[in-house]
Amino acid sequence: MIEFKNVEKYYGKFHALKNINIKFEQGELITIIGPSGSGKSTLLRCINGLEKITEGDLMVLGENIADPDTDIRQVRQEMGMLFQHFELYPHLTVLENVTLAPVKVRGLSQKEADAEAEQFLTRVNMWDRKDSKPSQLSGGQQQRVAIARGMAMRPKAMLFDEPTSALDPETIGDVLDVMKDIAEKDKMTMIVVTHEMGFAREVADRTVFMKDGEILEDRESEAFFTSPNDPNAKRFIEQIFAY
Amino acid sequence: MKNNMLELLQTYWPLVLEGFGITLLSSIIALIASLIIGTLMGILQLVPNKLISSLADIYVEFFRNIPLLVIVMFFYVAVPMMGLNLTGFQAGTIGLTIYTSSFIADNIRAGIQSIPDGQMEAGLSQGFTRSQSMRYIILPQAVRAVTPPLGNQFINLVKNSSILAMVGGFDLMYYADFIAMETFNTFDTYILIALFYLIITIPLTLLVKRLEVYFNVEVDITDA
Repeated sequence: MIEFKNVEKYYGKFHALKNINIKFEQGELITIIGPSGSGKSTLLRCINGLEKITEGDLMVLGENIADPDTDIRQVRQEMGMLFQHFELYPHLTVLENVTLAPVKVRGLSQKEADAEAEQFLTRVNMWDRKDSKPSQLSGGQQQRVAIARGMAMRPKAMLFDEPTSALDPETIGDVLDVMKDIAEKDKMTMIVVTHEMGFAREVADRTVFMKDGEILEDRESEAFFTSPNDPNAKRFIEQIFAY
Repeated sequence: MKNNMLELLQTYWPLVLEGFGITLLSSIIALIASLIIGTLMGILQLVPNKLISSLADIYVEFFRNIPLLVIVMFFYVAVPMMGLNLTGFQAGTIGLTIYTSSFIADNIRAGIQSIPDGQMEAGLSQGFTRSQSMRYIILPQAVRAVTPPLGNQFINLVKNSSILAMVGGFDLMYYADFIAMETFNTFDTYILIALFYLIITIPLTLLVKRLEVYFNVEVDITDA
C-alpha cells in the first residue's frame, strides 16, 4: 500500500534520505528505529507529503506522491498521523478535537461525528474527559486523544512519529497498549518511528533500522532483535540495552 | 477670559461635544477598517506565494515607517490634485486606517508565527487545506496571542486621531486649538480636552484587559 522507489531527499545540500526502497503492506505494523538524525522521521513525513521527496517515486494508496498532480489532501484524509508533541488543538475541547476534521473534511454532521467520537474516545479510555481542554490532561492522555482524533478519520493507515518520546515513563504504557489494541483488532497498517525497543520487538511485524539516511536492515522483528545482521544495528541495540 | 474648565465647558460644550463625536466616529471607522485590512495583510505576509507575501511586506514596511502626518497630508493635499476631493475627516480617517493597519498586520503576523508549526501540520495531516487550517486551528489561537498588542494599537489609534486637527477635521483636538485661541486659556482648555480623550481610552483599556482575562481563562496556551 506504500512503496518507496529509489527515493532521495535533500535539505539544501544535506542528504537526508539516500536511495530508499521499501514496501509497507496492508495490515502490517512496522517500527523504524535508529539514532537521531538518521532520517526516520523524514521518511515517515514523506509518506503524507509533509516533506517533499527530491527524487524517485513514492506510491501511497495507489497514488504517486511525487507527481505534482496528485491530490495530496485525498491521501492525507486516509492516513492518520501522530506527533511527538501530540499537537492537539489547544483551543478546543477533547470532543471538539476529535470531531473537527470529520465535520469539516469528511462532511459528517456534528451529531454523527459526536457519535463516532464517543466510540473512539471510549476505546482510548478518554470519553469521561471529553469536555476537558488539552492543557488539563497529562501527556499520555493527550496522546490517547490524538489517537482517537486520528482514528475518527477512518484512515487506512496510521503514521506515528515518536509518539511516546515526550511522555512521562508511567504514561507510556497506556499509549502503547492503545496502539497494540488498534493493531490487533483493526488490522490497521501502522508505521511507528520509536525508541521503544520492547514495543518494536513484541508488537511489530517488521523492524527497519536506519542510519545517516539509509535503511541498513529491514527484517522480521524477533529475528532482528535476536541477531541483527548490520554491525551498526548491533551496536545501536547493544547501547540501548546497556543499562 | 474664562477662568476654569467648568466655565469653558459651559460656553463651548456644543463644540466640545461635536469634536468628541468626530473623534469617536473617526476612531471607530479606522479601528474596524484597520483591523480588517491589517488582519488580511498579516495573513498575506505568510502565504507561500512569494509575490503576494512580498507585496504585503512592502505595504506593511512602507506605511509603518513613514510619519502618520505624511500619509494624511498625501490624502488631503496630493490626492485632490489628482481630482478626488477629500474632506479633512475623510483624509484623516483614511490615513489613520492605513497607518494603523500596517502595525496591526505586523502584530497579526507575529501572533500567527507564535503558533507552533506542528499545529498547521496536524491540520494538514487531517486533510484540511492550508486556509481551513488557518481558519479553524491557527487563527483562533492567534487571536489570544494578539489581544494585548492589538489593544495598544487601538489606544494609539484613538490618540493619533488628533491628526485630524491638522487637516481641518473638526475633531476634539481641532476644537481644542480653536477654544484655546479664542480664550487664551490654553492650560484649562487642553486639560479639558485631555479628559475627553480619556473618556474613550480608559474604557477601551479596561475592555482589552477583560478580553485578555477571558481568553486566558478560556485556554492557557502557554501550557498546551
